[in-house]
Amino acid sequence: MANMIMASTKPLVPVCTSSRSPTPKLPILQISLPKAPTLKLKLPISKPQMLSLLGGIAPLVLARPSLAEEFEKAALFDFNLTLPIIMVEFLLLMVALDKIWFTPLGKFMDERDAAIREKLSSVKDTSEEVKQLEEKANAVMAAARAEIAAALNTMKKETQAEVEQKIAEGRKKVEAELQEALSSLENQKEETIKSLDSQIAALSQEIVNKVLPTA
Amino acid sequence: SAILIIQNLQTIPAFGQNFFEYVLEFIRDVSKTQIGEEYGPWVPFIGTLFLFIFVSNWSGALLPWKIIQLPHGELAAPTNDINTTVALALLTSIAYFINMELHKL
Repeated sequence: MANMIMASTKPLVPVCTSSRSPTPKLPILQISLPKAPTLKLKLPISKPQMLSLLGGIAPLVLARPSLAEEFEKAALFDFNLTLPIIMVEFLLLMVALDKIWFTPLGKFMDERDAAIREKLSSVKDTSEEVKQLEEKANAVMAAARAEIAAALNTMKKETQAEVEQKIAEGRKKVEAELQEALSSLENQKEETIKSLDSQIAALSQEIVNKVLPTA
Repeated sequence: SAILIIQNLQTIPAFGQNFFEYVLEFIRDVSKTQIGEEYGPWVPFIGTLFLFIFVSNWSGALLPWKIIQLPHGELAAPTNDINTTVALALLTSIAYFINMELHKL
């Protein structure tokens, strides 16, 4: 509001008006036609100035110097004290926003980004550790498989040797038993032959006894 | 032009903080793409320019300030006056020439 109030107040410069007064009549008449609509459209004019302008248009032929003064007031570039005040105000606003908003939030965002990047880099390091651990696991598995294969080979060899020894011992025992069995069979054969001879003598005597009593 | 206040900064941003971070990120991106690697000190100036012009223009476009009548004149947006625009232009020119002098050294 203060800016607009100060902007609306327009200080008069009598030196300029006095210098503009001896202008010829024809240029004023030519200028008056195009500037009127632009004046209404562009510039904010207060009520007393508007009334004074309307009052100035009515006696157009008679009061030409007053119309010239009105046009001079409604210039396109009417700078006043508002310009440096807005500059100072803008700089103060810049400093305030910088201290309140930009610097603290910027630092906070930078710190957060740095923390996130550190976490990402640590994730990469753990991925490398994972690769190393996988390689170690593969090596351990290979070594274990090799050891298992060697142990299996040694066990197979030992078991084959033991089996062969037991088979040999079994064969020896079986042959010994066979020989004993054969010898016992021969003895029984001789005994059975002797018993058969004695039986034959007995039978022959019985046959003779049967035949002689009837003769 | 209003003064904006940030109260609590959190790791996971809330609604208001999310909005402010969005605006600051936008200003930073514009500064970075336009100025280059030395955009750090210029972010406050460019941010204030952006916010000032943005708020002033939209406040003038959305709200009919003419309803409020003043004895001295009309109430309008700050950018409606040529003093505002010329002041901002002069500040930008001064900043430009200061930067030129710095780089010359």
